[in-house]
Amino acid sequence: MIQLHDYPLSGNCFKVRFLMDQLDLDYQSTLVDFYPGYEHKSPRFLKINPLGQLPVIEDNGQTIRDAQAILVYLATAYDTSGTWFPRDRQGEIYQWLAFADELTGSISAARLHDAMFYSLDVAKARARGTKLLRIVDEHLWFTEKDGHDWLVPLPHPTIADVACLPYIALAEEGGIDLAPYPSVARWMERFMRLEKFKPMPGMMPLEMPKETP
Amino acid sequence: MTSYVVALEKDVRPNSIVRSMMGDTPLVIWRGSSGAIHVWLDCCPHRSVRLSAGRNMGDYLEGVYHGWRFDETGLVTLVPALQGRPSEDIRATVYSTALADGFVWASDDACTPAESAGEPCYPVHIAAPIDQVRQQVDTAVDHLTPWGTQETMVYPTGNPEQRRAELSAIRLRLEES
Repeated sequence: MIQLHDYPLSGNCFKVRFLMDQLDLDYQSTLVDFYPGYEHKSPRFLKINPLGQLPVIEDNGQTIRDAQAILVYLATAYDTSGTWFPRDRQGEIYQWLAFADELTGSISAARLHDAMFYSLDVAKARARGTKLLRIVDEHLWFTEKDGHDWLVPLPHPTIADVACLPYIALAEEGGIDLAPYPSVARWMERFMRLEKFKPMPGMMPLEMPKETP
Repeated sequence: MTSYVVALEKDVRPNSIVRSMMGDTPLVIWRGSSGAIHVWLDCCPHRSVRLSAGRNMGDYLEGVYHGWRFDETGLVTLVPALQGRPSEDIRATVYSTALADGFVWASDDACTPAESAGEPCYPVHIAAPIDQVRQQVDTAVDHLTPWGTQETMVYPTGNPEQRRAELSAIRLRLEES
C-alpha cells in the first residue's frame, strides 16, 4: 500500500490525495506536524526528504518527493484510463506543473505568512500571485471560448488542473482576492464538482447542484 | 447617477455564482431558474458573510453559514433555525440592474446602461480590436488589454503603480502589433 507523508492543510498534499482518490488507490496517510511542530524539518523527516518538504510518498520500495513529481509518477504507474497524463499532451502538462511550482512560491507563500506566521516578503508574494492569477484567468477564458473546460484543452481534466487548483482555491487565505478572476472561479467550480472530490479546509464545503457551470 | 458594468452576461450561468464590484461595493451576481440575473450586495443580512460563498440552487440562493434561503426577489424564505416563516423585512440588498451590449449593468440608483458609465469592475473580454473597444467602453486606456489584434480585455483598476506598469506593457504590445 502507498504511504503518504501528509498534512491536511497542505495544498500540495491535497493534490496527491485527490489523484489517489480518482485512481481508486489504497493509501495510508502518516500525518506530519507541519505547523506548529515543524516536524518536516526534524532530523527524522529530513532522512525521508532532505528538502524538508511535503508531500512524500513511499511505494514499492521507492521514495518520491515533490507534489508534481508524485502526480506524474501516480498517473504513469496507475492511470489505466490514460486521461490524467496523456502521452501526446505531456509538453503542455509539464508547462502547467512548472506553473504550479510558481503558485507554491507565491500564493502558498503568502498563505504561510498569513496563516502560519512565516517571515517572508508577503507584498512581493501577493504581487507575483496576482500576476499568475491573471495569466490563468486569461488562459481559461480563451479555452472556454473554444468550448473547453480544463487547462489543457481536452474533454477531461489532467494532472495540470490537479497541480494548479489548490493554491488558487486557497488564495484568499493568503490575502489575495479571487473576485477579479471569473474564469478561474468557473474552473474551480467545475473541479470541485468532479466525482470523489473531497475538499480540504479552506475549500467550499457545500454540495453543489450537479449541473456544471 | 452612475451605472457600472459588473459582469459579462454570458458569464452569469445557471447554478453558479459570480463575484464583482460596483465601485467599492462587493457584489454577488446569480442567474435564477427564471433566467433573470440578480445583482445584490455580497453580504448576508444575518452575519455579513459573503453570499457568494453560498450556492445557487436555481429557485433560491443559499447562504453558506446558517443556510438562509433568498428567493429571486431577495426575500428570505427559509431560516433553518427558525420555526415558521421569517419576517418579510429580512431581505438581501438588491441593486437595479439592466442588460445591454452583452454586459450586466448595475446601479444603486435606477440603472441606465451606457449613460455616465463608471469604471468596469470586472474583467470583460471583448472580441474586437482595442481601438474599437476604447470608443465603445467609456474607460481609461489603462483598463484595456489587447489580446492579439482582434480581442481586448478590460480589467479592473489596480493600484496606480501597477496601472502605470500595465499601461507601458500595453503600449509596448500595441507598438509590436
